[in-house]
Amino acid sequence: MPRYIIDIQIPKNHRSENHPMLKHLLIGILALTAALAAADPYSKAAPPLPRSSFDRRLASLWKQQAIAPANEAADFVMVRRATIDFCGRLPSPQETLAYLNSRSPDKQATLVNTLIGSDAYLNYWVMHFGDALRIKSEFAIKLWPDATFTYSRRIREFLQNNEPYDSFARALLLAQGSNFRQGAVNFFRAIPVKDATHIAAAAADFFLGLDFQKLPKEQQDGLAAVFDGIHYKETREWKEEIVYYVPADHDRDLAMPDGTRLHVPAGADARAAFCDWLTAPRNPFFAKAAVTHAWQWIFGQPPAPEIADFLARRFQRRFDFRALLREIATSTAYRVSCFTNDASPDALRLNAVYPIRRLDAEVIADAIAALTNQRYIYTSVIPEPFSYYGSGAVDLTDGSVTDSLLNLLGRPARDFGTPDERRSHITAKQRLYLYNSTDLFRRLWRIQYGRRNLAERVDWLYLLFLSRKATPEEHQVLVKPAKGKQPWRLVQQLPWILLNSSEFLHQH
Amino acid sequence: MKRRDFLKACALFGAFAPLPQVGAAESAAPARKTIPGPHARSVIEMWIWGGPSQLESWDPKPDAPQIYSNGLKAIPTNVPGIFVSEWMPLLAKHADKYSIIRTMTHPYFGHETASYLMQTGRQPGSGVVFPAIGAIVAMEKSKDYKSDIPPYVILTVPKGRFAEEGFLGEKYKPFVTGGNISAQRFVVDGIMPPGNLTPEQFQERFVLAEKLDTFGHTAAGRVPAVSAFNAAGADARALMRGKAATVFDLTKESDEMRNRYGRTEFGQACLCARRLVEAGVPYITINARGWDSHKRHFDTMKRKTAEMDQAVSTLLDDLTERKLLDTTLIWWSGEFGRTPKAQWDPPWNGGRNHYATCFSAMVAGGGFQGGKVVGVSDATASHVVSRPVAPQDLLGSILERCGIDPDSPFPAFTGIHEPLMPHESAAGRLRELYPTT
Repeated sequence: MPRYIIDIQIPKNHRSENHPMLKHLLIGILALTAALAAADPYSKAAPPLPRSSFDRRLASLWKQQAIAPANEAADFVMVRRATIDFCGRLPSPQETLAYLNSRSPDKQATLVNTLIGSDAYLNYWVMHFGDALRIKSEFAIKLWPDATFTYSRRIREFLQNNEPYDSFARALLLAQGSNFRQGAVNFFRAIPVKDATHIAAAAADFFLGLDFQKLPKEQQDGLAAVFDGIHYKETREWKEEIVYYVPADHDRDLAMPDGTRLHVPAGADARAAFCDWLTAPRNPFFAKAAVTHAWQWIFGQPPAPEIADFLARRFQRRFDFRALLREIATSTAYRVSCFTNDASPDALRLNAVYPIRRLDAEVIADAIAALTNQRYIYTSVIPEPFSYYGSGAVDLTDGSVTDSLLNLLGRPARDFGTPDERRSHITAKQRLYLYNSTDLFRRLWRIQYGRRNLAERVDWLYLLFLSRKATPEEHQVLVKPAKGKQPWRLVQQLPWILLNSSEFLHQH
Repeated sequence: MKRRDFLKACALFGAFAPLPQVGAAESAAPARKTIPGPHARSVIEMWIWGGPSQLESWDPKPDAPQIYSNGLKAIPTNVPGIFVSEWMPLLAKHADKYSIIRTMTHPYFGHETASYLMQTGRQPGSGVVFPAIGAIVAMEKSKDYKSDIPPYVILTVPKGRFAEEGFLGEKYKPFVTGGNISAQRFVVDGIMPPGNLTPEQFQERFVLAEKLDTFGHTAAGRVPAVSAFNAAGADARALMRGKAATVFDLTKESDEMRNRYGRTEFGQACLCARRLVEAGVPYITINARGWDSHKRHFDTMKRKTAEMDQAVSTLLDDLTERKLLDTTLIWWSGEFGRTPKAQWDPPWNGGRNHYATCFSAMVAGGGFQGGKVVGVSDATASHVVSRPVAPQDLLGSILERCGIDPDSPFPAFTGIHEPLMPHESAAGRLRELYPTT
C-alpha cells in the first residue's frame, strides 16, 4: 500500500492564530480530506503532475472550465488499464507484480513503450481498424475470406512498421489491383454497394470524420467524382476482383468539404489530387479524424474538440501514429483515476476523470479463455468447408467469424464501421449468461492454484482477475469469515464472484 | 436454373432493390391501415433450414416419371381433392386445419441470400440489413406484451446467416435458448442455475459478492456504468425467479404429452412452442436443422418428415384442444425447395439440390383458413403454372393476420423510410386464405 505524506502548512498570519478552535477545525478538515483521498484504493493522493505540452494544455482547459482533475490512478489500475487499452488483454500476475514492485520514476512511460509495438498491440489495433474499415468476408460487405486476410495484413504492416499515417492513407486511396494480392484495394470493396457515392461516403467517414449525408450536394458530388473512375472486373479465379482506375477525359473542378476546389486535369488520377488535398497542412479534417479514431479506441468516447485540435496540430508534423498513441498514453488525461469527486459532466467529457466502460467482447472472451486455460474455438460456417480459428477473439480479422458469446457481448457486425456498432453496454442477458452458463461454470474449475494456502489462493485469484492483491477487508470477509461460514467454501465461490464483478468486466 | 425462370422470378420483384430512403423525414407518411380482425396473438415459425423437398411433403407428383417421384405415392387427406406425400400420414388427417402453398418462388438458390429474402422480404444489396419478420412482429406486439420472457424466442439455435433484428437494434434481437431440447431436462443456459446449484446456494453467492464488491462500493452511485451494471444484475436475478425460468421447463409436462410430440428435437421444440404461446409470447421460431439433403436425400427426408409429421400434427391437435389455434399463426417453410429431378450421379448418389423456382410452404391458424391449396405447380413441381407467391406476399399476409399493416413504414427511430414489407407482387397476398367474415 502506498504511503501518503500530507504536508499541512498553516500561514503564520492566519486569523486562526487568534482562534485556536478554528485552527484545530481546519487541521481536522484537511486531515479528513486527505484521509478520504487516500481511502479510495484505486487512486493515489493527488492528481498526476503535468509533464508535456499536452498536459499543460489539458491543465489550462480544466482550469478554464473550473474542473478539478481526478487523482492519479493507483499503479495496479494503470498496469491493467494500459495493457487492456493497448494490447486487448489482461496483464499476467507476473507483469502486474513487476510493475507494482518497480521503483523506476518513469515506469509508466516505460510500460506504455513496451506495450505499444508488441504483438498483442498489433492484433488489437488491427481489430480496431478492421471495425472502422468494415473488414468482413460475408453479407453485407462480402470481401470474401482471402481478401479479409490480405487487407488485415496490410493494416498490420502499417502498424508494425509505423508507416507515416499520410503515406498509409495514400496507400489505401491510390491502390489498384487484385483484392487477393494487393490488400489495400479492399478499401474500395469494403462497402455494401460498390459505386462512387458509397466510396466517397466511406472515405469521408474514415479519413475526414464527416457524415457524407450531411454535406451540401455540391461537395457530395465533388467527393463522388474523385472516385467515379474506379471500376471492378472479375477474373477466372473464384471471388477474385480487380480494382482499377480509368481517368476522366476532361478537366474537372471538384468541390471539397473545406470549401476549396480540387482541380483534376484530363487524364489524371483524381485520387492523387485528392490525397494531396487530404494530407496538406491546411486540411482541417484529416489529422483530426485520425486523432479522433485513436482517442475513441483508447477512451471509448470521442475527444473534446479542444483536445482533438491540439493533438491534430501536433500529429500533422510527422503523422507518426505510435508517437500519437504514446503522447496520449503518458498524458495526465490517461493517468487520472476513474473515480473523482467532481461530478460535473464536463469532467468526464474533458477527460479529467478516466471513463469507466465495459470491456470489449473479444477482450472478455480472451480473458476467460486465458484464465481458465481453455481456448474458445471459432469457426467460420461460410465458406464451406468450415475454417477453424484457435487463436484469440481479438485475433479474428474477419468480422463474419463470431460465436454466441461474442454476439452476446456486442461484437460489431462490421456492416457500418461506426463506433456505436460495437454494443459495449452491459445487459441483463449478458449478466444471466455470466451467472448461469454451464460452460463458464465448468471452466472456472480449471484455474490452476499451484501449492498455495488459502490466503495465497485469494491473492492469486485477485491478481489473475483484477490485477491486484486483495485488500485487508476482502481478506477479512474470505479468510476470517463470520461464525458458521467455512473459508474453503467461500474461496471456492471466489472465481465465480470475481468473474461476475463490475471490477473485472469494466475498463477502469 | 434456366435464364427464363430467373427473369420470370425477377419480374415478380421488379428492378433491383433500390437504396432505401435514409435520412431526414419526409412530409406526410401514409397513415396506418387498420386490418380487420380477428388477429393472431402469437406466431410459430417452423423454419425448415436447408430447404425441404416439395415433392416428398406438400406437393407429391406420383404420376411424374420415376426420376422425379422416385416411385413415391400421394395419399388423400381428410379434405377431398387435397393430397400430400405418403410420408405424412398423420398430417393427412389434419388438412382441414392448414393450407398448402405450392407455388412459392424466388430467384435465389444460395442459402444466405434465399434465407435473407424469405425472412425479410427483401433482396440483399441495399446496404442496410432489414429485420426478419420475427423482429418486426416482436416490435409491433411489444406495445401490449409485458412479460419477462423475451418477445422473440428461437428454439434452439440461431440461423446465423445475418443479424435477424437488422436495424431495429438490440431490443428485438431474438432470444436463442441453446441447450438440448430433447434431453430429459431442457436447460436453457442462462435462465436456470448451472450445475446442480440450488436457488439458495445461488443466493448465498450473491450475498457474498455484495460484501466483496469493493469497486462497486467505491463507485457509490456516482458512476453510470456501474449503476447500469447493478441494475442489469437485478433484472437478471428477477428473470431467474420469473416466468422465463418455468416456461422452458418441459418436465412440467407429462411424459405422455412429451411422447405424443415425439422425443426429438423438432417434437420437443413444438411442445415448448405451445407453452410459449400459452404464455403469450408473440413470436417463436423453431429452426429445424438437417434438411439440406444434397446426398442421401430420400433416407434423410423420410426420417425427418416422420418426425415433423408427428410433431406438427400433435401441435395442431394440442392448440385446437386448448382453443388457441385461431390466435396462433403457424407458418412452415424453408428458404427454398429441392430440385425435382433427383440426381443419381456421383457425388450426389440420390440427392436433391437447392431449388427456388417452385417450392412449397404451409400456413395454419391465426385466422388463415384451413383445407385449401394456393397455386398450381406443373406435372413435376418444377414450375409455377398459376398463382405464384413471392416471399413478400407470404410475409405480408402473416403481418396482416397479426393486425400489422405491411405497407406502413418502419418507425421513425430507425431512420429508414421504407414500408415494413415491399409492395406485394402482381399476384398479391394470400387473400384467398383470409377469414371470410
